[in-house]
Amino acid sequence: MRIYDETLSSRLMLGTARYPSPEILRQAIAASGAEIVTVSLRREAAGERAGQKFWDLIRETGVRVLPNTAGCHSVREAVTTAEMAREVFGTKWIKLEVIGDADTLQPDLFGLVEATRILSAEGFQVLAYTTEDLVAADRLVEAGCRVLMPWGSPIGSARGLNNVYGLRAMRARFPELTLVVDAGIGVPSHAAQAMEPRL
Amino acid sequence: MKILLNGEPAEVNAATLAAALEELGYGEGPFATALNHDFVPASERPETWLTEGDAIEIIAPMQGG
Repeated sequence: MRIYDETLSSRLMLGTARYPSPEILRQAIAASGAEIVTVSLRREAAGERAGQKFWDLIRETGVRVLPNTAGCHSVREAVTTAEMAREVFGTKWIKLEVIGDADTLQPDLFGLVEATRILSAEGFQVLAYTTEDLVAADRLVEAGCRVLMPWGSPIGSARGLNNVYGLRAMRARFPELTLVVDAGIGVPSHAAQAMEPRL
Repeated sequence: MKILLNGEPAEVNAATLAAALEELGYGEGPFATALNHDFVPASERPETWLTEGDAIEIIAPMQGG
């Protein structure tokens, strides 16, 4: 799998939330063989140090991190969060989310394109959380995005691949681009379906 | 002066962002800062002057997906 100028031997990206303990997270990263883990940011109170402990653990594993702008509802908020993430995590990668609908968490594609343009100009390597909309995808690529993360279905809905035709069209339109189906995966067979060569 | 720290009212005597972080008890990090919703790199905190009512955001790594 290729993410901008990095070639990875594992296609697995591992989340870091909801593990029973830091030790089990550490063991899961090692056992999975994943070379990328996803991470986030939160407000920290003085003296809390939770962020330090988590970051020390991740750094010890040696895997690459993919920070996100989860929860950002505007271009400005997403850009500021990305800039903060780059400093904290020391990576140009950003999974860019600009939420447009509070109910379905559907991405704001207009804001996403604008934020991608700003961040690409600042040297970021954007992984854009998007829908299967081909026009938006064209604009994202024009804005400098080289990894598209189309949803399977709305975040947390567990509906699997809602629009197989749309995802197939996206694959055909951008044969050289890395695509990551990113949301709505509810059961293992949904993930398997997304990886099938003929989808 | 009165400021907003991560959305909550707070009071600091410090004149700069770097001094305010020290006064508020933030150590070496890892954390990143924003002032009035704009990112402030660590290198610019000592020259970033605060004014009454400023909103400071301090964020740190957390688990996510």
